[in-house]
Amino acid sequence: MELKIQDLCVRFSTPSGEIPAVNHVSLTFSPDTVTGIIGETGSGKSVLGLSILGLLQSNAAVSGKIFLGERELTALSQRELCQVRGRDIALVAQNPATSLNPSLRVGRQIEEVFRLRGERRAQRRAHTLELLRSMAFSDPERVARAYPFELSGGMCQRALTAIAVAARPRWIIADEPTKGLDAVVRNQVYDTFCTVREQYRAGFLVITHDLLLARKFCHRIVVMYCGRILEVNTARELFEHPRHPYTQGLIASLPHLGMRSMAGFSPAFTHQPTGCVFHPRCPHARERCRLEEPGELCLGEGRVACHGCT
Amino acid sequence: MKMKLKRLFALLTGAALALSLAACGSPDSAQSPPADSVQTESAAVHTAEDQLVLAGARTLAPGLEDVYFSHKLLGAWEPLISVDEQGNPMGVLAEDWARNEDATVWTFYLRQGVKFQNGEDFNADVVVENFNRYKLMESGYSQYTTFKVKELYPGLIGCEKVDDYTVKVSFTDPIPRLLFNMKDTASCIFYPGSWDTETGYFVEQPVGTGPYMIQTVAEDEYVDITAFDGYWGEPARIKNIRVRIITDPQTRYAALDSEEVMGVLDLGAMPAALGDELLKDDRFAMAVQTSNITHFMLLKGEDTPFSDVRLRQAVSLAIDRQLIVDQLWGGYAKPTQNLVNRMCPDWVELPVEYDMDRARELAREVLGEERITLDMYTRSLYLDRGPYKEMMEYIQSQLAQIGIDATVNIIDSSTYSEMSKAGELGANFMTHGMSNLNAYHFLNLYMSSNGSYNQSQHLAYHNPKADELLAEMSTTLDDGRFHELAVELQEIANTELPVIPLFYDTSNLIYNQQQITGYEDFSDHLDLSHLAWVNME
Amino acid sequence: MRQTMLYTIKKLLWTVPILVGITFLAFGLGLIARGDPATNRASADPDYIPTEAEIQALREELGLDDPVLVQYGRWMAGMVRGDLGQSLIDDKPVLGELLRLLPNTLLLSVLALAVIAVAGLAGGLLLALFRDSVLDLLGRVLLVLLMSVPGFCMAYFLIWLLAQKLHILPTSGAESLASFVMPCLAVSIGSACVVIRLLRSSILGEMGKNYVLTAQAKGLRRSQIILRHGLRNALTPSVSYVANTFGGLLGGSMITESVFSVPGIGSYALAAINNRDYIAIQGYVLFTGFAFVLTCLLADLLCAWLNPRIRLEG
Repeated sequence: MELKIQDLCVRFSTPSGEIPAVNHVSLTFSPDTVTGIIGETGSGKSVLGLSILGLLQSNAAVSGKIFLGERELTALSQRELCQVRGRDIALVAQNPATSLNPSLRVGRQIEEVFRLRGERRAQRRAHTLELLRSMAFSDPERVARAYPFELSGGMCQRALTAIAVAARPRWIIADEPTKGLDAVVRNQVYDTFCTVREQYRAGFLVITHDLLLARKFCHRIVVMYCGRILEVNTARELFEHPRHPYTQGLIASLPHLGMRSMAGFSPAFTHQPTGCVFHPRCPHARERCRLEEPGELCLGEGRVACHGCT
Repeated sequence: MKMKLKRLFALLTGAALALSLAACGSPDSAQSPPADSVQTESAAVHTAEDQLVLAGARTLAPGLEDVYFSHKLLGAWEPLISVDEQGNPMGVLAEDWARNEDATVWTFYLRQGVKFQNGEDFNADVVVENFNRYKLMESGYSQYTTFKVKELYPGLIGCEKVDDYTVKVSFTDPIPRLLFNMKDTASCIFYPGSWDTETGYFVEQPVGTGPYMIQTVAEDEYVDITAFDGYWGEPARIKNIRVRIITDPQTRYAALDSEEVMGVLDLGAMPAALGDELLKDDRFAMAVQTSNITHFMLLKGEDTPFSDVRLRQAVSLAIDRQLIVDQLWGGYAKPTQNLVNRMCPDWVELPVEYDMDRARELAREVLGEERITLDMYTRSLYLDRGPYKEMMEYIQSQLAQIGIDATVNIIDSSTYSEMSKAGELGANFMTHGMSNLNAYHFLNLYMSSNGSYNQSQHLAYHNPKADELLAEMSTTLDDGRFHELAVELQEIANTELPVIPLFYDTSNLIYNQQQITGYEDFSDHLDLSHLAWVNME
Repeated sequence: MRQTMLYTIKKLLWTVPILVGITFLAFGLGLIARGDPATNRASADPDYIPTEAEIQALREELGLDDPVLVQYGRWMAGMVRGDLGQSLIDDKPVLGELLRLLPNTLLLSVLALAVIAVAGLAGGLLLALFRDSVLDLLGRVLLVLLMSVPGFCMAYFLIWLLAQKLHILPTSGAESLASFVMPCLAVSIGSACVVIRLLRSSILGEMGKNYVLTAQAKGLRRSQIILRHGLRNALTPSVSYVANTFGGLLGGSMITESVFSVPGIGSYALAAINNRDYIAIQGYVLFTGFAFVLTCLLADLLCAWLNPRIRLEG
């Protein structure tokens, strides 16, 4: 069941003007490979993830098409989308601690997914405990009885993953799964995701700015900047031979590779540069980069949008 | 864009709603039906058993804590002596009477054939027991009139049976005007056995001889009375009556309008403004009854310029009483300068003057070119009974023209008691009911140099001539002489104005004339047993 | 469970000093107010002016000349026994009178509570569900209008409309359940409107939180999210407000009781205040203070149940 995004544009209308969060993005995701979308804060990757499920706010204008297999998701009504969410495509949201309802017990929040599928109470409870066990919780009963604020960040993250997985979706979109977590817990998250991938065979879309997780877990990586795709490649190729100057800068800034920061700051949404959106910060920028927006070039297994990569 | 349109639409609708609400008239002013509105169908037919519902502002059956248990109005009990419409003593349970020469012994001839509501006979033994009860009550608490035996029966020795229907009441000192003292509450008769023989207070519901029996009392809500078949006089025309307590005048108005109650009764039943609204509707009529209540303005004389009679006269001359009566009291009251109430048999009609020029002259004589200030007070409870504030404001504007700058102050009862005691009230507006129609009593209160009101209100009125006349009045056994003295004192008071009487009040009771009659049978009181349905089968 | 118990016990213990404080205040108020109860009692008859001797005798009889602390001690000792003293004006036992008048006030308060709770909940949910629709906007305008009408105005308006014009309800009295409908409405409409607005904004506030995204991602519809997730978290401010209002209603609403001639403890208190009946006033203040503290305690417990953080982190 392929997930296909065709020329997606998402614009937010705000009092200070129109903000183009996602700008003409076209991508295809295959359930066999884990795709990671990396980029800075504000690159539009979370918006992209949310727009697949139609979970954007009311002031977002979405144009373009999104397909799940044969079905066009962008043409569905809210009611129909509710059928898709959780069952076909699930979301593991950002900020696990606040993404759970603080006044309901964790077990109950997981059971809710089973309830939506019409299971009876005893069944629900059993399934929940089973699910928690498979998420590497040593004491599932205690966790089920606990409230979210009684769990650590990592445990909340696993609980959220449990919720996403409960309905056996075909796709899981993980939004910033390791944000704010320390190294040990990050490994736990990675382990959990691997378990899920093995057991449930779901397609994974990981949105993150944690490059190391992306390298470990993802087969294919998409690099986004200012709402546009700059480079797509397999994970190994991307890290060993980054083609786009931005990607090169990103990788160079990793702590164990020298931590060299890139010049400049990412532009404000309302004043995006002409031509190539990265050109003000690009060390190889030419006159052409300022005038003309680069098209996408297919190189090997991936593609890149840069004038200098011919 | 869609959002903005929606907001605009909602705003306009909201504004329309608000305007329509305002157009309905301010919600708390009484709404009267327009003249051509649908009238309720003309009087429904009633059987003798149907209950008539009336309403009053306060309870008429306070119960065991009250020395009378219920108000005379309910008709549960009767006195030995009452008064007729002219204010002269009239016998109720006592048919006739005689007194000895020096008025120390009074003989009463009791009515025969009277039965109590429990079937027992009314006779001399009963009266003797009741007088024994009176002796116990040094200060019998009541919402209506406190029973103070030393004031009502000063020097009482006791009551003796002469025969089954004759009793003798003896006193240590002469008491020529005893009958006036005995009016109504002072000679209430109950069947013995229902009161504590040490205190005189009731321990159970007492039994009287009146035309109605108290059936049920729901405290603070209503009292149900039902006609007594064995009543000695004319039987009550309506068998069952409920008197409800509705404390708020607006609500009483609403109850009359929606025909939940057929009439109102007792003090302050309907303020003039609301009454006028009701009278626009043909269904309602008003029974105007004389009342023994007079409205006064008392000026503090102690250490003030008002101890000079000319200044008091100036104040009185500056007030147009007829205007107050016409504009504020619906034209129903009667202007007066006479401090004795017109219901008293010794009352005489005396001139009432309004003369602004003379007022100014007199004021200037006393004050010269100076202006003085005067703080005028009244108690807040009076505001419910009539447009007191407006009246005081009118008087304020009048006094300003004669050199007196007055302020209008409304205070509550407790503050009033304190200030009154301390003599801080420059002018006090109040009502005083002449419940005891003994002219001496009333004149003494105000005109005697040590009269209790004269002192407690700090009037500082001293007139040796008045004192002389009062002394004679208190001892004379000659009724003719008594009357002469009363007239002379009234004339003195009319001119010297120890207090400034304003007008005699009336009791204005609104009733539904389509449904009931009998409200206007008496000019001075309401008799429930006279009420009848217009359409009775 | 144990923690919840501890929380409850702690709350209960706190009410004791609060109540003692209330008794101080009640007693103190009576002292500093102007006017002397002995004089008032002696002057009950408007046609009679009492002499100084009489007033002084009354003062002694009522114990008004004893030192303040002695009077306070006497009163507290009686209260512990269950005797709130006798009215200074008519000698009726205060507790007896309060208990006699309580049923009407209680009935009125409970009915009003039901109206406020049900209307508030339903209205708040409705407006939140249909947010920004015509219903929502019109509804909010109507609410503001109703909220701005003062209680007594509403009372007179209701009497005019329902009793005089439409003849469907009695104007006054406490004779039947029907007589309680209008007083209940008069007292509850304003508060119900406040609760609706409060609940609506609380719910909408909750809907902007992160956990709602998870709920949406599960496939829940908006109405389901509001009902199952948002409502529970949004109730806390409304519950506190309703509890406060109910506590106040238990003290009797003086104006409504007098307009509708419903004898209750509110009118009792009004008469006591006018007459400077200290004993009755103190009894009343204590009584309502107690009721209020209890209500607040219940509200706190309810909030703690709704929001587990409160009871488990304390």
